[in-house]
Amino acid sequence: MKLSVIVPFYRAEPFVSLAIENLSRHADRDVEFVLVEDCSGDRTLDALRQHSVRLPGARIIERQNNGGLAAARNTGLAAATGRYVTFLDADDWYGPRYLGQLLASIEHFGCDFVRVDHVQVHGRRRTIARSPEGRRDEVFSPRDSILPSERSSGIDYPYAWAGIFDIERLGADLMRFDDGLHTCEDRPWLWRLYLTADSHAVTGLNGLFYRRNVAGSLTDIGDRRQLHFIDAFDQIIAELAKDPDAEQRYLHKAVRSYCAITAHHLRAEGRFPPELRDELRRNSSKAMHRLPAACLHEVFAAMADRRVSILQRLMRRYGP
Amino acid sequence: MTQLVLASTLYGAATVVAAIEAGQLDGDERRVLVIANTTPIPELTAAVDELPGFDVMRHHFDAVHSYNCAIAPFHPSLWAPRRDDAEVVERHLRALWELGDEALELVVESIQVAPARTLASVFGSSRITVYADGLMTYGPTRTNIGPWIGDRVRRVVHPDLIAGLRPVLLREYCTPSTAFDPDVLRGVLERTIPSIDVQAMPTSEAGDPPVLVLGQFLSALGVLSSDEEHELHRRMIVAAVAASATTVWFKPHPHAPAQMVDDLVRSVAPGTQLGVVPATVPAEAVLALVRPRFVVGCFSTALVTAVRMYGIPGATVGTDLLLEALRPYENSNRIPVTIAGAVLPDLELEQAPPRLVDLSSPTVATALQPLVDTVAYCMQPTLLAGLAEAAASWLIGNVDGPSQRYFKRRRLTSLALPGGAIIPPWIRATHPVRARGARVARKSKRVVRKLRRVIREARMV
Repeated sequence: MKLSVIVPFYRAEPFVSLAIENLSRHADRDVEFVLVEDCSGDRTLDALRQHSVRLPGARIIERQNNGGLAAARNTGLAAATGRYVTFLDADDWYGPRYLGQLLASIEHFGCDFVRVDHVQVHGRRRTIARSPEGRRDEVFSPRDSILPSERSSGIDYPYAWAGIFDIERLGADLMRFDDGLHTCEDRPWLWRLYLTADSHAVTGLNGLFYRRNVAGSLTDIGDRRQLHFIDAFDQIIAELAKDPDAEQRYLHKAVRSYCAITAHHLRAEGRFPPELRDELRRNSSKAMHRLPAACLHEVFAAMADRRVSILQRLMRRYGP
Repeated sequence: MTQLVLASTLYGAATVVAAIEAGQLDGDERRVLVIANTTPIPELTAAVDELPGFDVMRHHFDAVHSYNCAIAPFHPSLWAPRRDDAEVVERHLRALWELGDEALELVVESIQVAPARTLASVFGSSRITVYADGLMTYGPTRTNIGPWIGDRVRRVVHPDLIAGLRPVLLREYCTPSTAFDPDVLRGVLERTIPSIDVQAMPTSEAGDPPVLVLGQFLSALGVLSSDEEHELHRRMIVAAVAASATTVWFKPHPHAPAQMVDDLVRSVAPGTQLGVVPATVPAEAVLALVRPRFVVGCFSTALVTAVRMYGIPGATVGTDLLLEALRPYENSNRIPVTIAGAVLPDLELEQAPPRLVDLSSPTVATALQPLVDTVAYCMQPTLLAGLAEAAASWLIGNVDGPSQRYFKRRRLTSLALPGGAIIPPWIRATHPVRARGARVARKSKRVVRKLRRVIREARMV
């Protein structure tokens, strides 16, 4: 088996038929489809069983408890038998020949992983979303795609499904997501990957159609799971601390991303119910106070916009 | 001259092929077919040339290209280049589709919207032929398509579904329309049948042909809510049973979600024999294969197709509901509803198997033409200003009769037509011309007030 496509399903019954239709257009004897049912408790599993009969290479993996996207992907990874692995969300789909091209790209470059662009879909309106990494079709160390911190770089394109990964070269441990994270699970995973892997390439394939603003998607609703960004970034900072060399070079970038995402959530706090808003503010303030003060100071000086005053006000008001 | 044909459905492609066979698209050296897949997720649905029935049409075309591939990853119903980029895009499409520098004749459906409108603007010097998209062709153009497109349309070609009825489409550009014998279209559609997979068709007993109920998918257009649509479908089935149908087959709209059909099957009264025709089998194939006893629908083109091309009686359910629900008044489905409502019996009123209406008789069109023209004028009074007088004089004699349901009092009032409310001249601000005058007057008052305030504030400083 060359490629394993890992597709978690959670309360995704309306999308099952489309998802299977999509995958069946990319069925191949070198490809297996690991369909992870994340203990939805509705008819998702029935629908998967019913529809997957027409998908060669389909394997349904049932989880015994609901663990969220990160845990479901880990379950899929544990079951995967392919040398390469890629991910797909249940409501997204591929353009013609995409999967074949994706597989061909990593075989061509022969590197640890390859990242690609994608298409964002809002109804019939579609926009091409490109990875902010400008060096295309060349193999280089992913560490060189982390900086600079004052603008977006490869690491600021946090979509696990926009790429293909060589498990043999990366090792199963490095591919694992942080169990328990329900949002932002891609961030610490990507940081680990970028810090540890030897080589990667970015290519301009844009055959994955990513549906924005699906009703009930986590980005729309004010849910406690939205606050997982704090755990995700704490994880990144903690892991950087283990490697003094990396910490010296990349801490600034990580802290800046942390500040940016915190400010983003504070600005959009209106979608949270009052008690959650309070929790967001207190936890964010604590998190900011936990960061190395000198680095935070530098970041604030470099950001120099409204976000800084939002964060400084928060830190003054809520304290450590 | 090369003909560049754009098709997005198998029925549309069949219409073009029928027009070719009927001698309406006079033989030219080269004919290139461009296929647009306009379903919501075209990546996951078969395009026309991937459908089994297409093979019998392929030989009419020298080349077949995919529009979706040419503009990937964008959606054909939305994508269009900026106006000044059209020339650049033309250059590239000509290279891609190997069109050389030849003069082009575009043959397209639905000229008012993308992708037809996009191609018409990209190939900015081409001649244009518009072919019918079902009953909608009989109605007015939805928007002003502008002289750069409108003046280039040479003709509207359509199957003569209602014998002798003239389309209103593009009449604002005095575009002539030519009709061809619908039997030619039937011939083309019938040739596609052997390749259709009829495995999943429901069964009916010999000697007892089923009644075919044609579903619509109006909730997708926002015309009805899903509940209202569900109720409409349920009413159709109940009416069919009341008209002594023993077996009913439901043919869902090709784009209708499976959920909608499941809900319907669950809600029919016990004892009703309901079969569901799979989405992959076109309604026309069912008409040809099983010859239903009669056909029930709201305003689908297949309803008129059944009556005219297959001699199968047809009846409507719910046209009154639709005439009310279509908003705004100029909703382009209004003409199909009007035609279906005017020529076919209402099954809920009849309570008996409908009789066959002879749509090939010229008397139908003679009676229908003024109604269609008048409704069309009320829908698009600015585009069709030339129809104003005829509409007014026809309304005088007919607006109080059974035709009243096709008009809305509000619309008649605002156009100062017979049947509208009579408003004393001093408050007749809804008259388009007077209304504009009143708007201008109100606006100038506001401007004066604002100026005064600015001056006052300036003085205070």
